[in-house]
Amino acid sequence: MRTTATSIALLLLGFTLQVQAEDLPRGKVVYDRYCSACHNPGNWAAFKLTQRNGEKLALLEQRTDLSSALVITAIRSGIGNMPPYRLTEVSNADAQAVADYLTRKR
Amino acid sequence: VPRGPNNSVEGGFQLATVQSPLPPLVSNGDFAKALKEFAAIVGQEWVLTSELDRNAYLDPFAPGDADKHATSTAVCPADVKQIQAIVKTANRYKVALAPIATGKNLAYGGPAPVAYGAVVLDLKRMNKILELNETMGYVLVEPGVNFFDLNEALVSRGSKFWLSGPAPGWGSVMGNALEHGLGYTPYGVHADMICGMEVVLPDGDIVRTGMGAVEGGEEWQIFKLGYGPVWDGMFTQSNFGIVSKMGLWLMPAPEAVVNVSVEIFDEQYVSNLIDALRPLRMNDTINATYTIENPQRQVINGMSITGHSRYELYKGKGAVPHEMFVEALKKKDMGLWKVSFNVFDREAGLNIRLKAIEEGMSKVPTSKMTTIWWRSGDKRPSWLRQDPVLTPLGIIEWAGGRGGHMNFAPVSAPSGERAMKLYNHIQKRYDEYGLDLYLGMLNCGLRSLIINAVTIFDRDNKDECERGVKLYKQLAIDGADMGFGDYRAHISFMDDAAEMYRFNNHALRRLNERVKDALDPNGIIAPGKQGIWPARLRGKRS
Repeated sequence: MRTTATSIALLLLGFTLQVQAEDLPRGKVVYDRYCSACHNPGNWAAFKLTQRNGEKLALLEQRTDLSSALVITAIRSGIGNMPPYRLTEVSNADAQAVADYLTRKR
Repeated sequence: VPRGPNNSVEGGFQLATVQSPLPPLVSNGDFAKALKEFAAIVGQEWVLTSELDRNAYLDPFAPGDADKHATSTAVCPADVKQIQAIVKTANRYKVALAPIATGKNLAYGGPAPVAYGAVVLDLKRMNKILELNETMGYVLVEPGVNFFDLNEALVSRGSKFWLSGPAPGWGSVMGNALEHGLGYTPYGVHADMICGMEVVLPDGDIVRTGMGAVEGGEEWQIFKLGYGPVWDGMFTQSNFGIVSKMGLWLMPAPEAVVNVSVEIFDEQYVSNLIDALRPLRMNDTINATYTIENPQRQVINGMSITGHSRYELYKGKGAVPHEMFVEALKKKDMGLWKVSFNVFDREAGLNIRLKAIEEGMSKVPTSKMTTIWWRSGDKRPSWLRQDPVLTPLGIIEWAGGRGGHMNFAPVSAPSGERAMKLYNHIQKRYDEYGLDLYLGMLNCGLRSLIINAVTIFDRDNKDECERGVKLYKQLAIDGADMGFGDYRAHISFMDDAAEMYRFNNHALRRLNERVKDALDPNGIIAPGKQGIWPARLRGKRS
């Protein structure tokens, strides 16, 4: 048996997400994990979308023109330089949660 | 419309569409039987056959037609028992399996198999950090754990250990080390930090390497050598088994780190810079990986990661003229070449190291050295590379369209004369093929440089892709003629890279093939990976 006092066993990704999800909508949690590294301010995709669409349409979390179908298609098929996310990375339920979050009423 | 576990084609699988290839030398009937057995093992929802799902396993940075490396389906096990069962079925029907960890080995093929039609064995669902040992400083991970996950685990625990990550952080911790990835810390040669593996062999048997072979021990992730031959290396950059668990040593968090940049303002002194760095790295004064950047790389980095592309600098045909890169750097008072690295120690130790580095660099004409300090307790700046990012992927914006990049990356001794001889030849070939040479000389360990020549291309520009592919193949021949070998290769170039290792009529390849045929007589694990083809598919070598 391994020393347990100094070890963390079974640190599941899902567990981590669940803890974070207590305070945040699921779509926001998934967005932060899978999308923010490119789409948050100062990151690569944010620069690119600024250049392509102007500042108002650069940040996904601030946009009000996104459709659920577009978000899910981008996740599943990729778009421009963004590669697709496979089912083993982002489940259909999580893809839908991101779409719900980015198209929420404000 | 996305398909998935809950809305795949009702009652079975989509088969035999024009876009759906079969695994090599497998009949439609046998493949259908294999798929049924796979579904019984992992659940039908984790046998992904729809076109949408299969497309997600194409190489997103393919230089040309991504369909050349299309998969027939993906099977996604949840644990090692399922891997064993899948392997047994694959043997029964001789279905080739191409294992991937997270599928983010971008620029080397991503999630795509070498052999057209091979079934991707997607291990991403196996994403547990099985152990994070704060006393002995190691992790035991499954294939699907990426650097974001590891960082999160370390931070949430307030760990006394740091990770050593590659440039972009969404790849697998295990996959990166197995593919000989590099990081920027004293633990930066990640394959050297592997300590103990669990491997499913091609016949479904399970072996644990090193001290993992001792039952009830606590030294699996402590002592690499075990007893008898050390097998760990055999399962890196290979197709001899499926690694299901891997131990990796973690670096104790340092008290302080200094980021050092040395710019040189006259290109003729690059050779002096390489020679001045060598003794400092060899005696571990510089105790982490350094990167030397050419002028193109500095300009392209600056522009692309802020969303700017090549055409904004130059609208002509062929490579951007060298003077334009030089001019762009001069305008910003930047050196034409630059080396940067981090040095790790306590503060007093860093002062001693910096003095020696300053002395060494002062011998390089036109050099200018700058430093930035970080001390334990300070906020972690991006140059520490502890919080994984995806920013470096932005270089593909340089292409101006849907971009990708591929690398020719031969190993050179860190001698100014030898490295620059190779560099100058590579530059000549890039000019000839009309492509921009984005180049970094990546230090690997105490005694080597990887001359990483990167071609950034527009995936929709057929001519540019073709020139890039021809250039790689030409450089592989040239490199071998000059006595160099590539350290890693894209799935389209694995045979070309293997061809560079010519000694004694390719004795190394012949040895690899003998091992392959002994361990994997049906040739089911990743045929063609690293140029190692099983006997029944050896004719597919390009």
